[in-house]
Amino acid sequence: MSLPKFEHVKRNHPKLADWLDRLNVYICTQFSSGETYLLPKLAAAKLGLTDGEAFILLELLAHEGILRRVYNVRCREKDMLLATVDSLDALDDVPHCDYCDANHTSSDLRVEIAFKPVGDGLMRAA
Amino acid sequence: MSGQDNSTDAIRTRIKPILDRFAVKALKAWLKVILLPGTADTRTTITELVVKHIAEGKLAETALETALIGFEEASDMRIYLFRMVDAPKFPPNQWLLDRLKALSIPLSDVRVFAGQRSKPMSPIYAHLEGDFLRVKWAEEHRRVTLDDATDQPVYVSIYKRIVLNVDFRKQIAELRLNPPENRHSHYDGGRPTDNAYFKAYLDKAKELLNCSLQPIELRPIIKRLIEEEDPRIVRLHIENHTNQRDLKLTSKSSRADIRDDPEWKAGYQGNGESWAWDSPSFYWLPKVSSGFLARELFSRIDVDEGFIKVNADCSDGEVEYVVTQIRAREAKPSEIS
Repeated sequence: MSLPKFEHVKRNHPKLADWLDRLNVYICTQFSSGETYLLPKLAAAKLGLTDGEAFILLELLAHEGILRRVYNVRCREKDMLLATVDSLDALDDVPHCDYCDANHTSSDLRVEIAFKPVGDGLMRAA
Repeated sequence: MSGQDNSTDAIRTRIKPILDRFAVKALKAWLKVILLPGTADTRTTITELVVKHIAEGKLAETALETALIGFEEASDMRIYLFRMVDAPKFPPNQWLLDRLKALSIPLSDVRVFAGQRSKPMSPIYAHLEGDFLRVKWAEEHRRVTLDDATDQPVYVSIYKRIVLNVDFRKQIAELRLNPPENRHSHYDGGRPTDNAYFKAYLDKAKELLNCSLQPIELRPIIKRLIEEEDPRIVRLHIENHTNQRDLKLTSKSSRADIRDDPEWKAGYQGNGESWAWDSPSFYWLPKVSSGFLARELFSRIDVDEGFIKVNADCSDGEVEYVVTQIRAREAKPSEIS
């Protein structure tokens, strides 16, 4: 991926340029292999960073409009993905949990931050 | 103590009620660590062993009491580790005393048992010793279950302890909480929740210390513990991770170290570098503990919830060893942080 927006992020954060390039390779690999979202913890593991550091890099790309932040909603008990939503307001509309066969309240859910591409530019670049 | 009856019967009468609150295995391990080992595997024999050590002058009752207070402050805890951010300058002096007073936390020269406190967030003591501060709170929770025979709820009171440890020189803090029961006073969305209970004490700690508390990153620590092979510092008996396809995999072994399994090893050698470790359980090994442990000590690191869990009946020394080992493996901040 060599989107103008991505180059813009690198210019604005020259000290992070190498890390952003490595993240770029990672993102392309993930999307080209069929993944639909990115998780900071997995990016961190692959790049040898902490979760917080990977989150900062992904958030930079989200701030630039390359990625967008979404929320994976998981059943806390079974740790299974129930839905991916665009905002925390949508937590009230989380679907029935098939694994527990129950409609969970918010305290039964765990929210995990993920990132999706904005538009299909990234997917095509990948 | 002067004027105190030091016959074995009198000692037994004094210490047995307190000793009975703690597991035999844990007491035995503690005696071994302080170089007073003995063959005692039952409640009766461990009591007699402790009585004997006290009667012979090898163990002071005050030292026993301090150790048992340590058990109360270390056992069955969820431990959250933090770095202090924008904290007031060291040394902690008048500002801290003012804060303790404002929060009605009594400053004490000695640590004490919590007793049975019913009110939520009841302050027990604050103990300041050099660079270190320890604060203890207590509260009552209730466990409600349904009686199958009568269909009536059955309430059981359980007393919880919460401990804050602070090292002002290193600017680190540690919050230990007993796991909550299903009825307590910390509500979120109209019902008591684990998170509301934790947050109440986290907020209290921040208010006391007048700073932000940044949780340490646990995943890199797990990676380092798993990579350490020569010598192994832990026995890895439950391992779970998420792979790059967001597939969660769990391996369990009752006795062995999972790292010795050929199938696990093959997967790890092929892809382990990119696994995100989630919630493994370890036994910390005594033989590499330089005498701090006298038994294999269980702990579970729950990355999603951000705590380290230790079992019921651990000594303060055992938990301090675990925390020290974890802190020693923290990732160094990079230029991204």
